[in-house]
Amino acid sequence: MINLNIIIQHSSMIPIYEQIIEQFKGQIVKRSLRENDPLPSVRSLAKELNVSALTVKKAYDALEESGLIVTVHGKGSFVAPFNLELEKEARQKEIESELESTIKKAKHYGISNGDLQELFNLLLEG
Amino acid sequence: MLEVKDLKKKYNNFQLDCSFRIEEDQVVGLVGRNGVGKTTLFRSILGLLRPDEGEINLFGRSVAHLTEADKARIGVTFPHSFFSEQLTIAEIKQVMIATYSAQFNAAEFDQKCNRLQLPLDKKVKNFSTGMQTKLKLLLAMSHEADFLLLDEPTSGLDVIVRNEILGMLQDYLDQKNNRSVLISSHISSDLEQLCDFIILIDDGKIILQEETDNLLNHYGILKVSEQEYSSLEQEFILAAKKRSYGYACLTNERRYYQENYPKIAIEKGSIDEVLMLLAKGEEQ
Amino acid sequence: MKGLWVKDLLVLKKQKLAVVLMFILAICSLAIFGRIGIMVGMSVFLMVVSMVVLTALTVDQQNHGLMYLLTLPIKKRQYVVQKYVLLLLATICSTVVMTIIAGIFAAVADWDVGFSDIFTRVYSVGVAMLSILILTMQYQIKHGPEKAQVAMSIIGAIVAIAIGGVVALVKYTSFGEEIFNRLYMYYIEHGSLLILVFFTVAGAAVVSLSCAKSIKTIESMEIQ
Repeated sequence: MINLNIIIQHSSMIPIYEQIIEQFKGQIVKRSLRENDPLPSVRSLAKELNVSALTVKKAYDALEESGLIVTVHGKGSFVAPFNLELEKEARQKEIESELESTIKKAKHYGISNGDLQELFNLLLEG
Repeated sequence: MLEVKDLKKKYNNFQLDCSFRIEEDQVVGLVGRNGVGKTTLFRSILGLLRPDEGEINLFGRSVAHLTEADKARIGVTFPHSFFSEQLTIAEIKQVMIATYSAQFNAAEFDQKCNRLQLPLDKKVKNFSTGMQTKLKLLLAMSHEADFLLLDEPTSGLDVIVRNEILGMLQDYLDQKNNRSVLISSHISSDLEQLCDFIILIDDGKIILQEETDNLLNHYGILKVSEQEYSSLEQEFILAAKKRSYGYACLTNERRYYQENYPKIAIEKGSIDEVLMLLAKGEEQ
Repeated sequence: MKGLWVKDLLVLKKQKLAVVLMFILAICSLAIFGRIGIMVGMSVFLMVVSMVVLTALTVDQQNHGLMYLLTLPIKKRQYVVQKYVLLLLATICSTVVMTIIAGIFAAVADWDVGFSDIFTRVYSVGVAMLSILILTMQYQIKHGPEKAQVAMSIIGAIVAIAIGGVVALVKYTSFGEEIFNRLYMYYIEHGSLLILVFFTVAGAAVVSLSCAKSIKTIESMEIQ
């Protein structure tokens, strides 16, 4: 069984299954979890993290939906083949939305487009 | 697996009135103060009591007509009821083998007794409460039962042993994917770790039925002053009780209040807090 | 059901001492009282054996034990039947044992009693006591062990008075004496077969009725 190194903060306000998902994603992107690696069973992960099995199930379901893991009935869950395109796309989208919200904020503060572009170029160089 | 439909039973000082279901591969925790009907509910499910109204179906059959084979699929623990304490574990083992034959896993049972340091040849009456509790749970898990009904299974155990027991329970559930548990306890932290669903009972009635997940992640306790309370959006407030500082309010949409009232003190929902706010007993 | 037997036998094994003691007492009563001692010894022996057996029930009922037991894969009716069979078997064993011992005594001490006579006496006491104990058990199933102890004393007292009354009736009234003589004549002429049959039928009736009643009790009562 893979040692997952997933750390959950029970006291955090962030829902636990979100924490699980984030940690998983992180490990997959970092490649400490590789393609076809078997995931621990729902219950054994639940036991390790001291959370209910349903919570872990939800996290696994969400991960499966985003294509990061694959569940084979009767065999368990495995890390999905690393889809480079998917990853690239996801990352692109992430940056896109962050830039969008920054631009929105800038407009809100009254910064002109020109000033914003200048700022952007400055940061890119530095 | 278990279906309780409109169960009504008048008892000493409460009226049991509840409905709920437990599917396969679910762990459900039952929480409530002493004397609200938890043990009565267990006894009704096990056919030791007859309800005034309603029906209870276990394994698809009415509990009034459970066959021996059905009963062999159940594992039970009660806090105050067990085999005669004149018996030793070795003797109880003999009874179990005669009762469950091949289903009783003697080798594994011995192993676990060893691990939990339970002596095989001492009379149970000479065991400490903790040891008796461990034994009861081990027996419930010793014969491949599909459904465990555990009434206060961890009372009297210190935190380290409790964790070990809960671990064993998790392992037991991990062995097959159709096992379910109904567990009642006062120790909320145990339930929060183990249970998929929580049922809160007060005065014989179910006051909350919720995924543990939701309870911990979306429920919250708002601690507000009188002033803040009066200007608070009431739509997501489930209950509020007066406190020395003003009010403690229960919400199931913690995020809403986190986002819209960034200045209020908000705490994560925990089973204890939720119970205290929903149960009767203090002015609202 | 097998589990119930294993459990009860394990519990009863722990009471060996009481049984052995009473065994000795029974032998002594035979030695001291001779022929009369047969019925006395048998009563005492059987009484203890049966009380020992009743503790199997008591032990189940103590500390809410029945609640747990009935969640095991047994039916309520099986539980009751097993207890009745247990009591029956204990009585039968005691009857056989006592008959053999009395028989040995009779042969050794050269009493003037035939074997069938011994057996009749032992058997009639056996059935009579069985009935009392069966009724006590029925009461205990319904009302629990504490009340049953009280009940048993009361029943014992009633029986003692009844026996005393009958004895007095026979000894001191001509009416009683006449009935007794008639029965005795009949017994001498026709042997003990009729008596045995009578006791067996009566005993069987008591046992089955009581068992049925107890099953009904346990099916409808709230187990706690």
